[in-house]
Amino acid sequence: MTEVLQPAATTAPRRLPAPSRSTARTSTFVLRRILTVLAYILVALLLWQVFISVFDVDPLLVPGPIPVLQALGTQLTSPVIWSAAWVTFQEAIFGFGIGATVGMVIAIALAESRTLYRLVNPYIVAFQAIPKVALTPLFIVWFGFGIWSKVVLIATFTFFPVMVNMYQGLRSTTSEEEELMRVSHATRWQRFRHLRLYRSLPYLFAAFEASFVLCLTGAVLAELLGSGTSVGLGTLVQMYTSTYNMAGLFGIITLLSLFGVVFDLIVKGTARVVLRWNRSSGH
Amino acid sequence: MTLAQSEPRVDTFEGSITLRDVTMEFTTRDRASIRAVDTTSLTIPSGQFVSVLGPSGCGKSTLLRMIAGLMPPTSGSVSIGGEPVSGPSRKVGIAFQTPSLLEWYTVAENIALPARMGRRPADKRSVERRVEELLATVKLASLGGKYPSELSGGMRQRVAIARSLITDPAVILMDEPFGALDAITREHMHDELLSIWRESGATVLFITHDIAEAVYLSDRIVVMSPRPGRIVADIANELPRPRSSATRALPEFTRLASELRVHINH
Ligand SMILES: Nc1ncnc2c1ncn2[C@@H]1O[C@H](COP(=O)(O)OP(=O)(O)O)[C@@H](O)[C@H]1O
Ligand SMILES: [Mg+2]
Repeated sequence: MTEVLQPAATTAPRRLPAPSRSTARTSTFVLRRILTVLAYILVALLLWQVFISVFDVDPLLVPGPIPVLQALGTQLTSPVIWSAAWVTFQEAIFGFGIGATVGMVIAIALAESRTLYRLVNPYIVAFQAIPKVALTPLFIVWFGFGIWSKVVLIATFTFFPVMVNMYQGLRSTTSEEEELMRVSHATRWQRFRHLRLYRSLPYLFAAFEASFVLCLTGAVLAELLGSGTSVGLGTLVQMYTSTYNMAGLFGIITLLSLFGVVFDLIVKGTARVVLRWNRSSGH
Repeated sequence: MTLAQSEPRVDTFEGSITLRDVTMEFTTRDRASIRAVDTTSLTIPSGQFVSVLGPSGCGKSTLLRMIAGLMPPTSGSVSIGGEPVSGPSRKVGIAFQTPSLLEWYTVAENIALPARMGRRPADKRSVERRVEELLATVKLASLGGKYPSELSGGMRQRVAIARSLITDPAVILMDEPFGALDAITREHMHDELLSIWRESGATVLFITHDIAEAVYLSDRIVVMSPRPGRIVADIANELPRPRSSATRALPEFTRLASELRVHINH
């Protein structure tokens, strides 16, 4: 969780060197990733078919890739799945946005004030010890069956890793760097803006990477546990399971995994652009 | 703040350093107290190049931090240019043991940093002009747009030195700045440092544990004992200037080096 991002990129506040070149590099990176993902999908489908044929699996338990792809094809043309995907997507994005924002704000406050850290830290540790899923019924009572109970649950998932990582990043400056700011007569804001903030970015993106995918898990889980008014992908999973629509179920799972991969790609791509300076100094 | 072109400071008092009975004690986590620097007095006239020589852990960095105003001594007093030191001052430039450059800023932005911080930062244009001059001084002209990760170790330390000069300090404090460099790069840096010192006319307090380095660079060498750190020898270095590789071959060089070695080993 605390590991620093791998090769990423430089943030130049002003003057970026040859921006076109670095943008080109980033887009090649994204393209290569997409092709790699497609290749992996192909291999997975192949292995799946081989498994089904070799072990002669009952299609009621595990359908083959072809009926699943057919089901997925039918699903993708119906508006039901799109509106469900949109609901789940919104829950994940809002939950992530709120959780990450609160996490960053608290991390900054704690890193800037030792007193606040000592006062608040025990509560945060206690909060983290709660299995968040157990809070779902509570959130449903508080925030209703719509998307907001899910958003809040996902926010509680995201908040902690973001806060812990960013706090560590903000405090990862060396004593010489801190002394440099002191002998330069930097104000508290300048020390934050020119030193600590940049130091925290690799840690922050590592947390984003870890928690973004977790957000989808959280969204589906919350929908499984209680969706009433909002029909998300998790709700569809539940419906298909109860009607033994295995091909439909696997279709949703495939879609979710694609979602996860796309999210991951967005975070890694952003990190490469924002952390350009970190590329050669990282490991 | 104005950033005038550096003119040699002749016959001024501005860069003098005075330590009077300075003691520094640290309290460790288990409440024990460590005396890092013990009742030390030292007077350095403006413009002198002084090396502080001693084994690691003897309190050299602590001494430097007190002069820099980064920590107040437990007892005793420190003054620069006749004024008591009560905190970091723009009259003092520092080069640390590691270059400590901000990787996210360019070389030019790193050099400008100390002058651009604070509630009343220096005017951007004049800082940029001074950065150009300093880049030439440390032989990095045209590399201002590079990022630290694109530079070699020696180049990075030169950037750090240029940064310590941006406020035109009367005193430059250097804490083993060349410790991580290979021998050849280090000798280059010695000559560059001496020419920077000559041009700026600043007082230099140079910390090192390398005897030959101290002899080559300084007007005067102060030897510190292991903990508690105390000055055990204060030796004038009469080797002629300007110094060059021929200096290292002088019998006087070798004699001074062995004299220092005796003081270090008691
Ligand atoms: N902030 C500190 N807190 C506690 N002890 C310290 C601190 N700074 C230095 N010391 C101790 O003071 C002694 C001298 O340290 P230092 O001045 O760094 O030595 P040198 O630079 O000569 O290697 C060492 O024993 C070190 O452990
Ligand atoms: Mg030291």
